[in-house]
Amino acid sequence: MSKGRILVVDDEIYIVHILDFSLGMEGYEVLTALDGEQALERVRSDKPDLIVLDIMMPKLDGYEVCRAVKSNPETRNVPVILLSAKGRNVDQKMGFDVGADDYITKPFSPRKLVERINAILGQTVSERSTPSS
Amino acid sequence: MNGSDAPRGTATPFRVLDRLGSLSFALQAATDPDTVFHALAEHVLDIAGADQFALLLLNDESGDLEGYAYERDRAGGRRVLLVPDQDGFLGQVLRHETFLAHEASDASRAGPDEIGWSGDAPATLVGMPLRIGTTLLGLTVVGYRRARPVTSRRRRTLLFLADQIGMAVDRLRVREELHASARSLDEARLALRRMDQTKSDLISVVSHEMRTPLTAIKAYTESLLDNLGRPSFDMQEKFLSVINEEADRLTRMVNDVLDLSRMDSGRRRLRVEPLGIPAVVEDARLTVEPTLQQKRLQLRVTVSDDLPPVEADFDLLKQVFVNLLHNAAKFSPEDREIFVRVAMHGDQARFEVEDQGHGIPTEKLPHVFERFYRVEDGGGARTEGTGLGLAIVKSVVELHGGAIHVESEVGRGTRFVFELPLHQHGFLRLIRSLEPLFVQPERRNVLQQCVTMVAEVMDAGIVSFMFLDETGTSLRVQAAHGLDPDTVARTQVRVGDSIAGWVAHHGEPLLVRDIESSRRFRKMSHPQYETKSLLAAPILIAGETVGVVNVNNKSDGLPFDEDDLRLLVAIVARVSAALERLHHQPTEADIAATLSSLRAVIRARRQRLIPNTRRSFKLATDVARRLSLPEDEIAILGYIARVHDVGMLTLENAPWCSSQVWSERERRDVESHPQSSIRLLRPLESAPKVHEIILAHHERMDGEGYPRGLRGEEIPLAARILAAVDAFEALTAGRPYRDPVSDAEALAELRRASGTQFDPNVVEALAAALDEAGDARPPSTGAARPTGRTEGVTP
Repeated sequence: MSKGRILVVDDEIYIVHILDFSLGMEGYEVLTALDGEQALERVRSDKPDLIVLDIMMPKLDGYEVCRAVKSNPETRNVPVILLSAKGRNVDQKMGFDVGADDYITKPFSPRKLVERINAILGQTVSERSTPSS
Repeated sequence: MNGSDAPRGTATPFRVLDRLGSLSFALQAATDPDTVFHALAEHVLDIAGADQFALLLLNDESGDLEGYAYERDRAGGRRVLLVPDQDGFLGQVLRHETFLAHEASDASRAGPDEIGWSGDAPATLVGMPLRIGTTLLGLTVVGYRRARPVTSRRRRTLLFLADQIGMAVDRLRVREELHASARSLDEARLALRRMDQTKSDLISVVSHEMRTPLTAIKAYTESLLDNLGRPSFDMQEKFLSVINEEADRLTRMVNDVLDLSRMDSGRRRLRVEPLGIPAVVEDARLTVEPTLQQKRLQLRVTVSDDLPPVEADFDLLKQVFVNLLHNAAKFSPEDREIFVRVAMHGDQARFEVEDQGHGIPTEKLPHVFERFYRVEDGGGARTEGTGLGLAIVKSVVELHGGAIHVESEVGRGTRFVFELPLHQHGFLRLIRSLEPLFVQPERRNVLQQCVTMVAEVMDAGIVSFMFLDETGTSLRVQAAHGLDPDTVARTQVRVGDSIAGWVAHHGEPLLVRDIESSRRFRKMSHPQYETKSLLAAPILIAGETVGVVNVNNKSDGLPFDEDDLRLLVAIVARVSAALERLHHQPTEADIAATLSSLRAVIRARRQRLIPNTRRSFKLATDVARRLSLPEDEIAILGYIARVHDVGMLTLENAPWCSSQVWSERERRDVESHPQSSIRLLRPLESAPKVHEIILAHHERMDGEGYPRGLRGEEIPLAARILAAVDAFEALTAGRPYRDPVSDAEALAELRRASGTQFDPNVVEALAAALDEAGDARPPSTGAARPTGRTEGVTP
């Protein structure tokens, strides 16, 4: 039984693979996208429960994707974690300005990312009062 | 006659003074040349009672005369630009730099009309050179329509006016130069700021880009560690191979960034040789073969038969092809072709690398050569590449004097086109221009004396000067001290190999403390070296590395250290500058002056006029650091310490050999030796700071020193340090007329003179340095490190 559906967006294929592996091990169903446009398509078609989003990507960058997700009433409540090599304060602020729920800088610890996702989803799941194991 | 002449013609002395007063007032107020000239003209016409006046300045480059001609009762001046006739009136004034009067009755070589007066030609014409010091600025001409005798009084007045005009013109020049130097300073500052910005931009981009492979390495490593214990985990190999690949990518990035920064700073010297292009392309093909095979890409190479060898750096040109082919492969769908075409185009070789890939949108074309710029490859994900490949290609092509551009059509493919000159003229010409140094006897002599001077000042048994050959690929010994002729003739080093080759390649000085513990150089045999420690520094001429100075076998048998390296760098900078001057068509006098300068240093060192203990040199450096002397001054302090007393050579009866009281004459001689030192060193020395320090090292805090009687902080800090360390050395090492004393006694003596003769801060810093040094090496305090590389470690 899946703990939830997570969309991983990054143009670095190895990062997508390792997140697929780590989240998969944790019992999540993982969807992937390699650029911003693909990401928005998957958000529309597959209704993920959470999005892990790189910022610097071809076609549409992570900020734009996040803004689009957060401005659409249907997807507004989907938590977005920005995962980026851009580590300056202004980058983080920009992330929160476009509505991101969390901001993690690369290089990152997959274990901690999973813990963070567990926490966020546990919270939102309990808010919706649909208990999960 | 004279009496009646004065009131009508030349103004009376009283009136002259009055007019001069208003002239100097007018001159001070004016700032632009035209206003100054017009004011001058008005007053000169008036004071001299003249009808015509011209002010003509020499153009340094063309030798033309430029200026204005004025006439009484005509407003303003007329611009004059003329080429003086050598034998004409103006030419004679200039040539002899003298006052010259021409009277109409004298019908000899006329020429007074060279200026082309608009009214009547003058009957009496006076020309006077304009000089400041010994510099000829131009001349002034004063004309009278009616014949006037040039009396001695008139002559005096006119000469006096000429002096005033000369000063006014000089002041204008100085002001202009000041403006110009302020402008160029501003420009330099702007350029520096831009460079600094580019550099910080690059650093921020680099650190960001390096996070990408690091992120993968970190994520895979942690996941591997977290899952190793799980029985069902079977991804070890996959994870490890990702880590391995990403570590490789990081390495490539680091290398690429280093390559680029070396090329940017001009430290990567081209190792030019005539290259057969097909071989270079083939070499590159072998490197990219695996990538080509992966996508089943065919490489089609056409090199036209008439293509001659191209002078280029093999490694760099190969890298250009590798990067372009990798790029083409990356953006090509499977089963396509990549074309390489090389042919002559005008007098250059033209190279094309064309793919049938996705193409690059027009708006992105201008950016493809930017660092870390990436065009999406159409497949979405990117996993390889450093984002620097095309930036390197561009740098290499430009370093060879070529140009590159890119053409592309989306969906059809991309073509990179670059052209390279067949010959790398600049370097070749530079190297060829050095030839006289090696063959022409007088200049060879200079080179040989340079070698000996370096050996004496460095206290080294072996010194060799190696120069690059025309291809820039190998070094040969052109002058040596302490090496047998056989070794000199035989020794040839490839650039990049061994120590000299490393230095020529990187353009940086190198210190090897112990050749046997050096990982880089251990394997090479250096039979001629008796000690294991050596130094090498690049010889730079016209901004290019043209050779290497090698120094070995320190006479005290101890290894060289950073301070020695610093000293060598300072000396080689001076030797390089002297050689560079000789390589621009020197006069006999230049050569003679350089030679006597070199000989003086050598002789002074041999006669031990100049204190030579390594200890005093270290003390000076240590004290300088403690007193926060700027690093650039510390760098030259060691050099100055070893040459500053060379002027003592000029004293006839060495008074330092006797303990008797000096006669007045001897005292004068001794007190002028700092100036003599500077005079002797001038051909080797262009840094004003060095002159300043040498000139002031016998000044005293209380103003009782010589030659200028400076006091306190008027004396440059470096000179105050030198004074104290010199005295300490003289006391502890002893002199022919005095027995040496202990450190403690010497220090006590210095302290007695602290505040009067010596700077108290310097004396205390010296005490602290002695205290800390004990019997070991003086520790280097703080972060001060010499420039250049350090190799190996003393066990």
